[in-house]
Amino acid sequence: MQIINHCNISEGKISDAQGVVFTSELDLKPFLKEFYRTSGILYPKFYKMDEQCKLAFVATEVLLQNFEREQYKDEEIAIVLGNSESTLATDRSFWESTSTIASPALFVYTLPNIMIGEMAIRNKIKGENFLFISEKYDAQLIFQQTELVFLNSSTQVAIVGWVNYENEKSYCAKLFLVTKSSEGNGTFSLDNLINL
Amino acid sequence: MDALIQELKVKLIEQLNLEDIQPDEIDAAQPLFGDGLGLDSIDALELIVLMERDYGIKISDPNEGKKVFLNLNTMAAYIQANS
Repeated sequence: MQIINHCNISEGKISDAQGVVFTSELDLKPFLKEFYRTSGILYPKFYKMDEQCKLAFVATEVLLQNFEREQYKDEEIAIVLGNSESTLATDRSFWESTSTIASPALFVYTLPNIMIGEMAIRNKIKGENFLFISEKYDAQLIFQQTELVFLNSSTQVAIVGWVNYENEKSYCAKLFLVTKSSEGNGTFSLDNLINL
Repeated sequence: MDALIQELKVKLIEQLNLEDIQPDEIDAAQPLFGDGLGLDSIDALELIVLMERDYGIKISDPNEGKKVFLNLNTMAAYIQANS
């Protein structure tokens, strides 16, 4: 297994395997909006997503920028993610909305798997998918589960990693595009999951 | 009626996060769903909430909802007739 690409988003910086892609001193919401507008992406549903989904969406866009998606069947692409907050920030917003009339659009984003759903819809991914909630980034867990997915399914490539939104200043996306083949840009290893 | 339609355009953009769209770009006769504005089923629920919260109108019959939310003209006419 090899890592084809990776993407990190934290502290106002988006980077991939080639280096820094975008920086901003803005809080997360305007920062991601600025990236969306300048990158030429056309996906109006972006504006409807909560911040955690926007974070996952943008990280995936960067991760898959040069990926030859058409080489794989929809069912051959898996997603293995982790985070620590589940959907707590949106849970709070939804709870506040219930003081008048609860917002259906907010409710949708109180389901933890929604960010995987948004990634899958955008990229027509129909393979195995998992979201693990742990206290902090658990590279060992992500590594083991990804190995199992490759071993026990028709998965050929997987998007794996960590997407966590706590608030506008504290957030992190760390995604890896992993292939079952031996051709890539780095070994899929615990060390790389921690250090890249 | 024109003022109400204009008000609905602004509320629609705000409530449904249609950030790429300006009020003047929405044709009041344009379908809200399908090929028109491209709204989805969650947006439909948000429109029901908007009608109740902002105009005191409850829509519980799905068939009625289909007629009311055809476009902004039908929404405005329904609000005028029921509020």
